[in-house]
Amino acid sequence: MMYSFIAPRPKKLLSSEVRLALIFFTVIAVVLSALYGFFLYQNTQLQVELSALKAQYVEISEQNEMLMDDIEFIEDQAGFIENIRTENTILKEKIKNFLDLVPDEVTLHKVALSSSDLILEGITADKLSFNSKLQMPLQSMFHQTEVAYTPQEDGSLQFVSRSILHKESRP
Amino acid sequence: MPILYASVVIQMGSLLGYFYTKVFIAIVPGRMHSEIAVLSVKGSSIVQHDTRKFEGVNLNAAMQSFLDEAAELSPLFFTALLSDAKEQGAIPTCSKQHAGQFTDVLLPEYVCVDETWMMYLSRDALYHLQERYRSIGLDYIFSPFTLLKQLYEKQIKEEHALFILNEGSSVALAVLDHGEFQFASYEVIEQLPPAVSDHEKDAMDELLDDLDIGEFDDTPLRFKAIEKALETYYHDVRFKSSFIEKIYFADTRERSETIVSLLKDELFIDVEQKSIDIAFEVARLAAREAGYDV
Repeated sequence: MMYSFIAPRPKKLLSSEVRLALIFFTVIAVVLSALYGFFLYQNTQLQVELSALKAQYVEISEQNEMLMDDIEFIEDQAGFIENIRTENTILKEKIKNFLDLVPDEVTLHKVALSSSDLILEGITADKLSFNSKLQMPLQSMFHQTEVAYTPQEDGSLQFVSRSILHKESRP
Repeated sequence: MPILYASVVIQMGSLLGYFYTKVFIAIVPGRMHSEIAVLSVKGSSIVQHDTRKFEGVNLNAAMQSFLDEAAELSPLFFTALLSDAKEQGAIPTCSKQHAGQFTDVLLPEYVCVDETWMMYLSRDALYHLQERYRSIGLDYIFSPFTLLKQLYEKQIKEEHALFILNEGSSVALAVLDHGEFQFASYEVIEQLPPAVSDHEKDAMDELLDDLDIGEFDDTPLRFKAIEKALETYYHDVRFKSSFIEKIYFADTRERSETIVSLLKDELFIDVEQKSIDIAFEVARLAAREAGYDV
Protein backbone atom coordinates (compact mmCIF):
# COMPACT_ATOMS: atom_id res chain seq x y z
CA MET A 1 0.00 0.00 0.00
CA MET A 2 1.23 3.48 -0.82
CA TYR A 3 1.56 5.70 2.25
CA SER A 4 3.60 8.53 0.77
CA PHE A 5 2.03 11.85 -0.16
CA ILE A 6 4.20 12.01 -3.27
CA ALA A 7 5.36 9.50 -5.85
CA PRO A 8 9.07 8.72 -6.17
CA ARG A 9 10.97 10.36 -8.97
CA PRO A 10 11.93 8.13 -11.88
CA LYS A 11 15.48 6.89 -11.48
CA LYS A 12 17.97 7.06 -14.31
CA LEU A 13 20.39 4.18 -14.17
CA LEU A 14 21.99 5.10 -17.45
CA SER A 15 23.79 8.36 -18.11
CA SER A 16 23.14 10.44 -21.23
CA GLU A 17 26.38 9.20 -22.81
CA VAL A 18 25.47 5.57 -22.16
CA ARG A 19 21.97 6.20 -23.52
CA LEU A 20 23.45 7.79 -26.66
CA ALA A 21 25.81 4.84 -27.09
CA LEU A 22 22.88 2.46 -26.56
CA ILE A 23 20.80 4.27 -29.18
CA PHE A 24 23.74 4.14 -31.58
CA PHE A 25 24.37 0.44 -31.07
CA THR A 26 20.65 -0.31 -31.15
CA VAL A 27 20.30 1.48 -34.49
CA ILE A 28 23.36 -0.32 -35.85
CA ALA A 29 22.04 -3.65 -34.59
CA VAL A 30 18.62 -3.00 -36.11
CA VAL A 31 20.13 -1.99 -39.47
CA LEU A 32 22.42 -5.02 -39.50
CA SER A 33 19.56 -7.30 -38.52
CA ALA A 34 17.41 -5.80 -41.28
CA LEU A 35 20.20 -6.30 -43.81
CA TYR A 36 20.78 -9.85 -42.62
CA GLY A 37 17.07 -10.54 -42.92
CA PHE A 38 16.98 -8.98 -46.39
CA PHE A 39 19.92 -11.06 -47.61
CA LEU A 40 18.49 -14.16 -45.99
CA TYR A 41 15.22 -13.54 -47.83
CA GLN A 42 17.05 -12.90 -51.09
CA ASN A 43 19.11 -16.06 -50.62
CA THR A 44 15.96 -18.08 -50.05
CA GLN A 45 14.40 -16.58 -53.17
CA LEU A 46 17.53 -17.38 -55.19
CA GLN A 47 17.55 -20.94 -53.89
CA VAL A 48 13.95 -21.32 -55.03
CA GLU A 49 14.82 -19.83 -58.42
CA LEU A 50 17.87 -22.12 -58.69
CA SER A 51 15.73 -25.18 -57.98
CA ALA A 52 13.22 -24.05 -60.64
CA LEU A 53 16.02 -23.45 -63.15
CA LYS A 54 17.51 -26.87 -62.42
CA ALA A 55 14.14 -28.49 -63.04
CA GLN A 56 13.80 -26.42 -66.20
CA TYR A 57 17.29 -27.49 -67.31
CA VAL A 58 16.40 -31.16 -66.84
CA GLU A 59 13.17 -30.66 -68.81
CA ILE A 60 14.98 -28.81 -71.61
CA SER A 61 17.69 -31.49 -71.71
CA GLU A 62 15.03 -34.14 -72.17
CA GLN A 63 13.36 -32.08 -74.87
CA ASN A 64 16.75 -31.56 -76.53
CA GLU A 65 17.40 -35.28 -76.51
CA MET A 66 14.02 -35.90 -78.12
CA LEU A 67 14.72 -33.20 -80.71
CA MET A 68 18.11 -34.76 -81.47
CA ASP A 69 16.36 -38.08 -82.02
CA ASP A 70 13.86 -36.35 -84.30
CA ILE A 71 16.66 -34.62 -86.23
CA GLU A 72 18.46 -37.94 -86.66
CA PHE A 73 15.25 -39.52 -87.87
CA ILE A 74 14.56 -36.62 -90.26
CA GLU A 75 18.13 -36.78 -91.57
CA ASP A 76 17.67 -40.52 -92.21
CA GLN A 77 14.39 -39.77 -93.94
CA ALA A 78 16.07 -37.03 -95.98
CA GLY A 79 18.77 -39.49 -97.11
CA PHE A 80 16.14 -42.00 -97.99
CA ILE A 81 14.15 -39.41 -99.95
CA GLU A 82 17.30 -38.32 -101.71
CA ASN A 83 17.97 -41.92 -102.72
CA ILE A 84 14.43 -42.29 -104.01
CA ARG A 85 14.70 -39.03 -105.88
CA THR A 86 17.99 -40.11 -107.42
CA GLU A 87 16.55 -43.45 -108.35
CA ASN A 88 13.49 -41.73 -109.79
CA THR A 89 15.70 -39.42 -111.80
CA ILE A 90 17.68 -42.34 -113.10
CA LEU A 91 14.50 -44.23 -113.90
CA LYS A 92 13.07 -41.19 -115.60
CA GLU A 93 16.24 -40.87 -117.59
CA LYS A 94 16.10 -44.55 -118.50
CA ILE A 95 12.49 -44.24 -119.62
CA LYS A 96 13.38 -41.20 -121.66
CA ASN A 97 16.32 -43.00 -123.20
CA PHE A 98 14.14 -46.03 -123.89
CA LEU A 99 11.44 -43.93 -125.48
CA ASP A 100 14.15 -42.30 -127.63
CA LEU A 101 15.02 -45.77 -128.84
CA VAL A 102 11.51 -46.39 -130.18
CA PRO A 103 11.78 -46.13 -134.00
CA ASP A 104 9.27 -44.37 -136.23
CA GLU A 105 8.04 -47.71 -137.60
CA VAL A 106 6.81 -48.76 -134.19
CA THR A 107 3.81 -47.22 -132.52
CA LEU A 108 3.39 -47.92 -128.79
CA HIS A 109 -0.10 -48.16 -127.33
CA LYS A 110 0.82 -49.24 -123.86
CA VAL A 111 3.96 -49.22 -121.73
CA ALA A 112 3.83 -50.89 -118.33
CA LEU A 113 6.98 -50.82 -116.28
CA SER A 114 7.29 -52.57 -112.96
CA SER A 115 10.25 -53.42 -110.80
CA SER A 116 10.74 -56.75 -112.50
CA ASP A 117 9.37 -56.42 -115.99
CA LEU A 118 8.43 -54.17 -118.87
CA ILE A 119 5.36 -54.77 -121.01
CA LEU A 120 5.06 -53.03 -124.33
CA GLU A 121 2.01 -53.17 -126.61
CA GLY A 122 1.76 -51.51 -129.97
CA ILE A 123 1.91 -51.86 -133.78
CA THR A 124 4.96 -52.31 -135.97
CA ALA A 125 5.22 -52.22 -139.73
CA ASP A 126 7.30 -55.38 -139.80
CA LYS A 127 9.18 -57.76 -137.53
CA LEU A 128 12.58 -56.73 -138.82
CA SER A 129 12.20 -53.18 -137.87
CA PHE A 130 10.98 -54.22 -134.42
CA ASN A 131 13.70 -56.77 -133.87
CA SER A 132 16.52 -54.59 -135.10
CA LYS A 133 15.58 -51.28 -133.64
CA LEU A 134 13.74 -52.16 -130.43
CA GLN A 135 14.26 -55.83 -129.56
CA MET A 136 18.03 -55.51 -129.52
CA PRO A 137 18.21 -52.74 -126.91
CA LEU A 138 15.60 -54.48 -124.78
CA GLN A 139 17.66 -57.65 -124.73
CA SER A 140 20.69 -55.71 -123.61
CA MET A 141 18.75 -54.15 -120.76
CA PHE A 142 16.68 -57.15 -119.55
CA HIS A 143 17.59 -60.71 -118.89
CA GLN A 144 14.79 -62.17 -120.93
CA THR A 145 12.53 -60.73 -123.62
CA GLU A 146 9.51 -62.41 -125.22
CA VAL A 147 7.50 -60.96 -128.10
CA ALA A 148 4.18 -62.12 -129.50
CA TYR A 149 2.94 -60.82 -132.89
CA THR A 150 -0.54 -60.64 -134.17
CA PRO A 151 -1.09 -59.76 -137.90
CA GLN A 152 -3.48 -56.92 -138.69
CA GLU A 153 -5.76 -56.48 -141.71
CA ASP A 154 -3.69 -53.64 -143.09
CA GLY A 155 -0.55 -55.83 -143.09
CA SER A 156 0.99 -54.40 -139.94
CA LEU A 157 1.70 -56.45 -136.87
CA GLN A 158 0.34 -55.93 -133.35
CA PHE A 159 2.92 -56.91 -130.81
CA VAL A 160 3.05 -57.61 -127.10
CA SER A 161 6.57 -57.60 -125.67
CA ARG A 162 7.39 -58.69 -122.16
CA SER A 163 10.88 -58.14 -120.84
CA ILE A 164 11.81 -59.66 -117.49
CA LEU A 165 14.52 -58.55 -115.13
CA HIS A 166 15.66 -61.27 -112.73
CA LYS A 167 16.18 -60.19 -109.21
CA GLU A 168 19.79 -60.49 -108.11
CA SER A 169 20.34 -62.41 -104.94
CA ARG A 170 22.77 -60.84 -102.50
CA PRO A 171 25.76 -62.87 -101.53
CA MET B 1 11.83 2.64 -33.27
CA PRO B 2 11.07 4.76 -30.16
CA ILE B 3 8.94 1.93 -28.74
CA LEU B 4 11.75 -0.55 -29.35
CA TYR B 5 14.24 1.80 -27.73
CA ALA B 6 11.98 2.46 -24.73
CA SER B 7 11.41 -1.25 -24.32
CA VAL B 8 15.15 -1.95 -24.46
CA VAL B 9 15.89 0.81 -21.96
CA ILE B 10 13.16 -0.39 -19.55
CA GLN B 11 14.35 -3.97 -19.79
CA MET B 12 17.95 -2.94 -19.24
CA GLY B 13 16.89 -0.65 -16.39
CA SER B 14 15.05 -3.47 -14.66
CA LEU B 15 17.96 -5.82 -15.18
CA LEU B 16 20.54 -3.32 -13.97
CA GLY B 17 18.28 -2.29 -11.07
CA TYR B 18 18.35 -5.86 -9.82
CA PHE B 19 22.13 -5.71 -9.39
CA TYR B 20 22.28 -2.27 -7.81
CA THR B 21 22.13 -1.67 -4.09
CA LYS B 22 19.19 0.56 -3.19
CA VAL B 23 19.86 3.40 -0.83
CA PHE B 24 17.09 4.89 1.27
CA ILE B 25 17.83 8.23 2.87
CA ALA B 26 15.46 9.39 5.59
CA ILE B 27 15.32 12.95 6.84
CA VAL B 28 13.56 13.70 10.09
CA PRO B 29 13.58 17.40 10.86
CA GLY B 30 13.40 18.31 14.52
CA ARG B 31 13.02 21.59 16.33
CA MET B 32 16.74 22.27 16.80
CA HIS B 33 18.34 19.50 14.83
CA SER B 34 17.66 16.99 12.07
CA GLU B 35 18.34 13.30 11.94
CA ILE B 36 19.37 11.67 8.72
CA ALA B 37 19.56 7.91 8.24
CA VAL B 38 21.05 6.08 5.31
CA LEU B 39 19.90 2.54 4.70
CA SER B 40 21.51 0.36 2.04
CA VAL B 41 19.29 -2.50 0.96
CA LYS B 42 20.11 -5.48 -1.20
CA GLY B 43 17.26 -7.85 -1.87
CA SER B 44 15.37 -7.99 1.42
CA SER B 45 18.29 -7.41 3.72
CA ILE B 46 19.86 -4.28 5.11
CA VAL B 47 23.55 -4.24 4.22
CA GLN B 48 24.43 -0.92 5.81
CA HIS B 49 22.84 1.56 8.18
CA ASP B 50 24.03 4.90 9.43
CA THR B 51 22.13 7.56 11.37
CA ARG B 52 23.53 10.99 12.08
CA LYS B 53 22.26 14.05 13.85
CA PHE B 54 22.82 17.53 12.41
CA GLU B 55 22.25 20.96 13.86
CA GLY B 56 19.43 22.91 12.25
CA VAL B 57 16.27 22.07 10.39
CA ASN B 58 17.00 23.44 6.95
CA LEU B 59 19.60 21.86 4.72
CA ASN B 60 23.08 23.08 5.55
CA ALA B 61 26.52 22.29 4.17
CA ALA B 62 27.12 19.38 6.57
CA MET B 63 23.77 17.78 5.77
CA GLN B 64 24.22 18.38 2.05
CA SER B 65 27.65 16.78 2.15
CA PHE B 66 26.33 13.72 4.01
CA LEU B 67 23.37 13.42 1.63
CA ASP B 68 25.63 13.77 -1.42
CA GLU B 69 27.87 11.01 -0.09
CA ALA B 70 24.83 8.80 0.47
CA ALA B 71 23.48 9.56 -2.99
CA GLU B 72 26.77 8.50 -4.52
CA LEU B 73 26.40 5.00 -3.06
CA SER B 74 23.94 4.02 -5.76
CA PRO B 75 22.05 5.60 -8.64
CA LEU B 76 18.98 4.01 -7.07
CA PHE B 77 18.70 6.25 -4.04
CA PHE B 78 15.41 7.37 -2.58
CA THR B 79 14.97 10.26 -0.23
CA ALA B 80 12.18 10.16 2.33
CA LEU B 81 11.01 12.87 4.67
CA LEU B 82 8.90 12.63 7.80
CA SER B 83 6.54 15.54 7.57
CA ASP B 84 6.85 18.08 10.36
CA ALA B 85 4.19 20.40 8.96
CA LYS B 86 1.59 21.75 11.36
CA GLU B 87 -1.20 21.32 8.85
CA GLN B 88 -1.43 17.56 8.93
CA GLY B 89 -3.29 14.86 10.78
CA ALA B 90 -5.52 11.85 10.46
CA ILE B 91 -9.32 11.66 10.45
CA PRO B 92 -11.82 8.79 10.56
CA THR B 93 -13.09 9.10 7.00
CA CYS B 94 -11.79 8.49 3.52
CA SER B 95 -14.25 10.83 1.92
CA LYS B 96 -13.00 14.24 0.85
CA GLN B 97 -16.54 15.55 1.21
CA HIS B 98 -16.74 14.51 4.85
CA ALA B 99 -13.18 15.61 5.66
CA GLY B 100 -14.43 19.13 6.36
CA GLN B 101 -16.24 17.82 9.46
CA PHE B 102 -12.92 16.91 11.09
CA THR B 103 -10.33 19.37 9.80
CA ASP B 104 -10.04 22.98 8.72
CA VAL B 105 -7.17 22.26 6.36
CA LEU B 106 -8.05 23.35 2.85
CA LEU B 107 -6.92 21.48 -0.25
CA PRO B 108 -5.34 18.56 1.57
CA GLU B 109 -3.28 15.85 -0.02
CA TYR B 110 -4.37 12.64 1.54
CA VAL B 111 -3.61 8.94 1.81
CA CYS B 112 -6.58 6.70 2.42
CA VAL B 113 -5.99 3.72 4.72
CA ASP B 114 -8.20 0.64 4.71
CA GLU B 115 -10.87 2.81 3.07
CA THR B 116 -11.92 3.94 6.56
CA TRP B 117 -9.50 6.67 7.58
CA MET B 118 -7.11 9.07 5.99
CA MET B 119 -3.83 10.80 6.72
CA TYR B 120 -3.76 14.28 5.28
CA LEU B 121 -1.30 17.06 4.69
CA SER B 122 -2.09 20.50 3.37
CA ARG B 123 -1.04 21.11 -0.19
CA ASP B 124 0.79 24.30 0.78
CA ALA B 125 2.75 22.45 3.46
CA LEU B 126 3.63 19.74 0.96
CA TYR B 127 4.88 22.37 -1.45
CA HIS B 128 6.95 24.05 1.27
CA LEU B 129 8.49 20.72 2.33
CA GLN B 130 9.46 19.96 -1.26
CA GLU B 131 10.92 23.44 -1.63
CA ARG B 132 12.91 23.07 1.60
CA TYR B 133 14.67 19.97 0.25
CA ARG B 134 14.69 20.89 -3.42
CA SER B 135 18.49 20.63 -3.70
CA ILE B 136 18.42 16.93 -2.80
CA GLY B 137 14.90 16.19 -4.02
CA LEU B 138 12.30 14.08 -2.26
CA ASP B 139 10.84 10.74 -3.29
CA TYR B 140 8.61 10.08 -0.31
CA ILE B 141 6.90 12.26 2.27
CA PHE B 142 5.36 10.34 5.13
CA SER B 143 2.92 11.28 7.82
CA PRO B 144 3.95 10.49 11.44
CA PHE B 145 0.81 8.33 11.59
CA THR B 146 2.24 6.08 8.89
CA LEU B 147 5.23 5.58 11.14
CA LEU B 148 2.97 4.75 14.09
CA LYS B 149 1.17 2.22 11.92
CA GLN B 150 4.48 0.58 11.03
CA LEU B 151 5.81 0.61 14.60
CA TYR B 152 2.71 -0.92 16.18
CA GLU B 153 1.27 -2.96 13.34
CA LYS B 154 0.45 -5.97 15.49
CA GLN B 155 -0.88 -4.03 18.52
CA ILE B 156 -3.08 -1.87 16.29
CA LYS B 157 -4.78 -4.97 14.92
CA GLU B 158 -5.22 -6.69 18.29
CA GLU B 159 -5.82 -4.01 20.91
CA HIS B 160 -7.65 -0.87 21.82
CA ALA B 161 -4.93 1.59 22.75
CA LEU B 162 -3.47 5.02 22.42
CA PHE B 163 -0.39 5.07 20.19
CA ILE B 164 1.98 7.98 20.66
CA LEU B 165 4.98 9.06 18.65
CA ASN B 166 6.96 11.40 20.86
CA GLU B 167 9.18 13.07 18.33
CA GLY B 168 11.68 15.95 18.55
CA SER B 169 9.35 18.71 17.48
CA SER B 170 5.95 17.14 17.80
CA VAL B 171 3.65 14.63 19.40
CA ALA B 172 1.53 12.46 17.13
CA LEU B 173 -1.06 10.26 18.72
CA ALA B 174 -3.77 7.99 17.44
CA VAL B 175 -6.42 5.83 19.03
CA LEU B 176 -7.29 2.60 17.30
CA ASP B 177 -9.55 -0.16 18.47
CA HIS B 178 -8.67 -3.54 16.99
CA GLY B 179 -7.68 -1.95 13.69
CA GLU B 180 -10.56 0.52 13.68
CA PHE B 181 -9.37 4.08 13.57
CA GLN B 182 -11.08 6.37 16.11
CA PHE B 183 -9.07 9.48 16.68
CA ALA B 184 -5.75 11.19 15.93
CA SER B 185 -4.01 14.36 16.87
CA TYR B 186 -0.80 16.01 15.76
CA GLU B 187 0.71 18.76 17.87
CA VAL B 188 3.85 20.67 17.06
CA ILE B 189 5.65 21.47 20.32
CA GLU B 190 7.01 24.97 20.22
CA GLN B 191 10.07 25.92 22.25
CA LEU B 192 8.11 28.64 23.93
CA PRO B 193 4.54 27.88 24.79
CA PRO B 194 1.93 29.87 22.92
CA ALA B 195 -0.17 32.36 24.78
CA VAL B 196 -1.87 30.56 27.62
CA SER B 197 -4.41 31.64 30.09
CA ASP B 198 -3.38 32.52 33.62
CA HIS B 199 -5.05 29.39 34.91
CA GLU B 200 -3.09 27.16 32.51
CA LYS B 201 0.14 29.03 33.27
CA ASP B 202 -0.32 28.47 36.99
CA ALA B 203 -1.07 24.78 36.47
CA MET B 204 2.04 24.38 34.29
CA ASP B 205 4.28 26.11 36.83
CA GLU B 206 2.87 23.88 39.53
CA LEU B 207 3.60 20.84 37.40
CA LEU B 208 7.15 21.98 36.73
CA ASP B 209 7.71 22.53 40.43
CA ASP B 210 6.30 19.12 41.32
CA LEU B 211 8.48 17.33 38.79
CA ASP B 212 11.53 19.42 39.51
CA ILE B 213 12.40 19.92 35.87
CA GLY B 214 14.06 22.84 34.15
CA GLU B 215 12.18 25.60 32.45
CA PHE B 216 13.58 24.65 29.03
CA ASP B 217 12.23 21.16 29.18
CA ASP B 218 9.08 20.86 27.05
CA THR B 219 7.73 17.81 28.89
CA PRO B 220 4.77 19.69 30.38
CA LEU B 221 3.84 20.97 26.93
CA ARG B 222 3.94 17.48 25.55
CA PHE B 223 1.92 16.15 28.43
CA LYS B 224 -0.59 18.94 28.03
CA ALA B 225 -0.90 18.19 24.33
CA ILE B 226 -1.63 14.56 25.08
CA GLU B 227 -4.05 15.47 27.82
CA LYS B 228 -5.85 17.91 25.55
CA ALA B 229 -6.06 15.37 22.74
CA LEU B 230 -7.53 12.79 25.11
CA GLU B 231 -10.07 15.30 26.31
CA THR B 232 -11.13 15.91 22.72
CA TYR B 233 -11.27 12.18 22.11
CA TYR B 234 -13.48 11.50 25.12
CA HIS B 235 -15.81 14.47 24.76
CA ASP B 236 -16.05 15.37 21.09
CA VAL B 237 -19.18 13.73 19.69
CA ARG B 238 -17.64 13.47 16.22
CA PHE B 239 -15.35 10.73 17.45
CA LYS B 240 -16.29 7.29 18.58
CA SER B 241 -14.60 6.75 21.94
CA SER B 242 -14.17 4.29 24.76
CA PHE B 243 -11.91 4.18 27.79
CA ILE B 244 -8.24 3.72 26.97
CA GLU B 245 -6.36 1.32 29.20
CA LYS B 246 -3.08 1.08 27.36
CA ILE B 247 -0.66 3.54 25.84
CA TYR B 248 2.10 2.55 23.44
CA PHE B 249 4.72 5.22 23.59
CA ALA B 250 7.33 5.38 20.84
CA ASP B 251 10.03 7.71 21.96
CA THR B 252 12.77 9.38 20.00
CA ARG B 253 13.98 11.61 22.79
CA GLU B 254 16.64 10.87 25.35
CA ARG B 255 14.86 12.02 28.50
CA SER B 256 11.31 10.76 28.43
CA GLU B 257 10.99 9.03 31.75
CA THR B 258 9.23 12.10 33.13
CA ILE B 259 6.45 12.15 30.60
CA VAL B 260 5.94 8.39 30.93
CA SER B 261 5.66 8.85 34.69
CA LEU B 262 3.20 11.67 34.18
CA LEU B 263 1.05 9.55 31.90
CA LYS B 264 1.03 6.73 34.40
CA ASP B 265 0.42 8.90 37.47
CA GLU B 266 -1.90 11.53 36.10
CA LEU B 267 -3.93 9.50 33.65
CA PHE B 268 -3.75 6.15 35.42
CA ILE B 269 -3.03 4.34 32.20
CA ASP B 270 -0.57 1.53 31.63
CA VAL B 271 2.24 2.76 29.39
CA GLU B 272 4.56 0.61 27.30
CA GLN B 273 7.48 2.64 26.14
CA LYS B 274 10.06 1.91 23.50
CA SER B 275 12.89 4.00 22.18
CA ILE B 276 13.24 4.16 18.45
CA ASP B 277 15.76 5.39 15.94
CA ILE B 278 13.16 7.43 14.11
CA ALA B 279 15.30 8.21 11.06
CA PHE B 280 16.09 4.53 10.65
CA GLU B 281 12.39 3.67 10.95
CA VAL B 282 11.49 6.26 8.29
CA ALA B 283 14.18 4.85 6.00
CA ARG B 284 12.77 1.38 6.60
CA LEU B 285 9.31 2.71 5.83
CA ALA B 286 10.63 4.12 2.55
CA ALA B 287 12.19 0.78 1.68
CA ARG B 288 8.91 -1.01 2.39
CA GLU B 289 7.07 1.60 0.31
CA ALA B 290 9.46 0.81 -2.54
CA GLY B 291 8.60 -2.87 -2.20
CA TYR B 292 11.49 -4.21 -0.13
CA ASP B 293 10.47 -6.25 2.88
CA VAL B 294 13.10 -5.08 5.34
